[in-house]
Amino acid sequence: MDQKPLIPRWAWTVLAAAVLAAVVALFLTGKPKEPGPSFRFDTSNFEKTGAAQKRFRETARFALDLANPTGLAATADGGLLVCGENTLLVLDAAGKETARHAVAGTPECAAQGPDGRIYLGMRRRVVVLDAAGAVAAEWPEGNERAYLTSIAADTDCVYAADAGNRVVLRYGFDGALLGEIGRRDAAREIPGFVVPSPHLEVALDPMTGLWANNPGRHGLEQYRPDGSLASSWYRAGMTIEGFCGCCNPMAIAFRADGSVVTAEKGLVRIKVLAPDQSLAGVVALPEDLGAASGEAAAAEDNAPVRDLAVDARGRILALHGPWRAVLVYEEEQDAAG
Amino acid sequence: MRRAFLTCAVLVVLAGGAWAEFRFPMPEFESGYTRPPMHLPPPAVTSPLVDVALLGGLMAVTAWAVVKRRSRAWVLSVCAVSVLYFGFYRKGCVCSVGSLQNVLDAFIGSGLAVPVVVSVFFLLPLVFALWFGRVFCAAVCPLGALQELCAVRPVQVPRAAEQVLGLLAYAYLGLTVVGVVTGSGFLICRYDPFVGFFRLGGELNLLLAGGLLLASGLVIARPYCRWLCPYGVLLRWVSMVSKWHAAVTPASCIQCRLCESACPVNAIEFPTPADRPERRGAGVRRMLVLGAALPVVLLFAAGAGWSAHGWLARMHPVVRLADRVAAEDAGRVTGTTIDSETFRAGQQPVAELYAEAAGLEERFKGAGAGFGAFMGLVVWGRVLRLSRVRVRKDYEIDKGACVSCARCFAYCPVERESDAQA
Amino acid sequence: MDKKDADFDRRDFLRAAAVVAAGGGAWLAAGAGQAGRMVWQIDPAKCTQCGRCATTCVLNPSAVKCVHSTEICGFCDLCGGYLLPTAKAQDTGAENELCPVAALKRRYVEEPFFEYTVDEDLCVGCAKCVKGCAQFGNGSLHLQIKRDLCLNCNECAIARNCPSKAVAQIPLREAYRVKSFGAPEAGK
Repeated sequence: MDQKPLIPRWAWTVLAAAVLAAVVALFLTGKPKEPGPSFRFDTSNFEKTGAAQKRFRETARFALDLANPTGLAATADGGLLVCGENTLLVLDAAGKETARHAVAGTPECAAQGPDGRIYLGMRRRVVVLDAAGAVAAEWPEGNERAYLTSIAADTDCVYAADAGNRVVLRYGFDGALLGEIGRRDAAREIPGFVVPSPHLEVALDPMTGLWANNPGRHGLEQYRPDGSLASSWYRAGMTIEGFCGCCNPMAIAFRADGSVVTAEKGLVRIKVLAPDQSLAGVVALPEDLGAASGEAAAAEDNAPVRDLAVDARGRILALHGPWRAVLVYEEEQDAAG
Repeated sequence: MRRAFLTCAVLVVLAGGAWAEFRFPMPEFESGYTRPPMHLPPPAVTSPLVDVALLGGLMAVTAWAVVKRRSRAWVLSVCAVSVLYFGFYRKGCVCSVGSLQNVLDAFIGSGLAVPVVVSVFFLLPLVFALWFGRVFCAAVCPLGALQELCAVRPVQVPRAAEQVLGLLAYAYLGLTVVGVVTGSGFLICRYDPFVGFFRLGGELNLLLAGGLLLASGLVIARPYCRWLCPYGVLLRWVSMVSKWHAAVTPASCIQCRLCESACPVNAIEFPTPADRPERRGAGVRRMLVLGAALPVVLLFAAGAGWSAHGWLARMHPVVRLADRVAAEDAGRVTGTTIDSETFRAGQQPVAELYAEAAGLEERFKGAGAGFGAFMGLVVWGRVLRLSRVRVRKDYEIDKGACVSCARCFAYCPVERESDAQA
Repeated sequence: MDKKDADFDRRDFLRAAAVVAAGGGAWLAAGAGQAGRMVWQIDPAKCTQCGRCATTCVLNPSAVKCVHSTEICGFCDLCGGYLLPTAKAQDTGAENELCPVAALKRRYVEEPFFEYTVDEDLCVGCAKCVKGCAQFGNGSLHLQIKRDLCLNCNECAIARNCPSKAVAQIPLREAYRVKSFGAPEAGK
């Protein structure tokens, strides 16, 4: 004898179907939560700082047939040297290749001496090429920490920046080590180079004074040949007047009027600072160098500008690694707006 | 999927310059400071032997409890052990339900090797089912055990509804296979509604779904097991040919009808009426019609699945990314997602992404057709089974549907021969 | 003709054969036991620091933590991963810290070096410091899945949601894919 149930049987069907439909709907509409703004690191609002002070524009771009460009230097005749993987290129003022020399190993930096010889900074030692590109001399190798990242030739000596040992080496033209500059020395009030990444640069100003960047301290230092500190200044900051991040500037070059061109990594930008350390003008911002946040180059490489140089005509040259090109900038002639 | 891996491998080589070798010497410290070592703890591993031993052991105990001892108390105790160990302690992983994806993946998916434990977790319940029926479902599966413990006042859903709703599990199985074959991912792992409880946290939607299933599970026993579990479909097929399946009565059925409302999953089949319901000729004709209908059904279903390939393809993350990028470029949506941002910052050109998505959609055509045909076959098979007139004298168990929960034993007044003689 | 349950008959043979065939198939699928236990690990070279490691892990807080490779760290005063870009001073003030949960700790070592360590009880794996370190510094901070916390799910939810496909399974013996000094992508 079956009594009529309190709840009709079809009600359970409806319940079951409703539960399954709800479950399937919940399955299909589920999504894990996305990280909110407190988890996002965003420097894109700093990328535009300095846009109003842009005084230079890119007038030429020399494409390079070179894998892994590492160093750039200007030559006395208005041309330039570019070193890269197993190669040294000599270009003329228009960017056309005039010579290509094979090098054993990849030089990190290059410089032309007053006698036309070319000094290449290989990772641990300096290799000297004659004007024809043949190896003229190989100077003694440094210790296992040695890592040469920049080289500059003065009238009577050659300076090589050893980022690994945090010191600038002063060599005679014959390869004899004349002295070390910049090692931390409390007595002479030399603070010492703080070099977290291989970007220690040396450059000569128009009066052949030796300058080096101190990336960890965010500034520049000037040294006399005897190693004493002549002057220094530091400015850290994300704004256009300062050096951003933890180790900048990572490349420097001097113009004929004594102003210094600096390149930074992280927030990739090139700017010119007057001798009184004020901002003289902005050369390029991240968006001009393919390093704005979200662009492919930025994600891969936080220091696309490998080296800077100022050529005999006063043009600013920047070596762009990922683009494999030399970017040429010239000052805008009062055209502004 | 393989192409995505290749692209990434190439990317790594290109980007390798930055991170692959870091040889720049780091500062030397004058104060004697030494760098602290990185804290890299070893994995918290439970021996897979323990898992396998417990799996086999608990199934053996359940099989004994159901077939020999006929005790629901034992079944419930094993349920509790399983929920505690496989559920809360092992946090639901390794799971037999999900293992079918790994095994499938090894053969027809990406070819990734399957750990032996996972293979064992896939096979062992099926092996036990081959002899004892769905004893895995009864008490050892943590999902099933959890639902069993919740089913306090189960009611019976009308049989017609049971048959129709049960098709959802086959669809889930089919979609899981599609997901593995096309490289879209492991659906079962993603949509496990109960694992959130075991892990004490998870996606909100899944926790809600799990809660809904358990709440309704108070009155509708084992909704996931009956109508959603894809592994349950395999166990059902194997259990149908099991040798020593549990029976309602320990000896011979006396047709007392007391067990009619015993089974919450409608697994007890009633005896057919004494007189034949229809003439033999009618039955044969019906079988012939069904047989002739099969190719038509398969073709139609495969066609329907094929035509759904566009919708099915959205299962795959690359296809979804291509949709998003195209929508952003066309201006149909504003803003970007992390996926589209990362894509644009990467090296792959947009055209290549679209080509990859198009290629995947092609794959979904075949997969969709296969899925459609499978569902067509399943529906046809169910109609066939329901059309067959079986003469049944006793109250018997539908071996495929029965989850061996041992509820019905208490309803049967027949004593065991051994007990009667004693 | 009654068939006694205890007898071994044709059906039992079929069952046994099915088991053997399935067992052999599963053994083949298992690749005959090669590779050993596989674990999920992040490849720091591919990671784009999107922050999803913190939100998509099935565990809360995530099994992903920041690890610091001090061999690569520059020990800078102005740390790109520790300080906010807008930090007014280079100190441990909370208003200057980049980490949203203050899990990165700074300690003075000697002039001008500072040590940075990760407090794993606080870290949620959001990759904010990783991004700062990668953009401005040497990239010594990076995320990795902690093996004592990770459940080693069948399908890692983070792997599924990673926009750069940086999470993959590797054999346990190669595990802990961390950046180390002088070696390509290492492994400890």
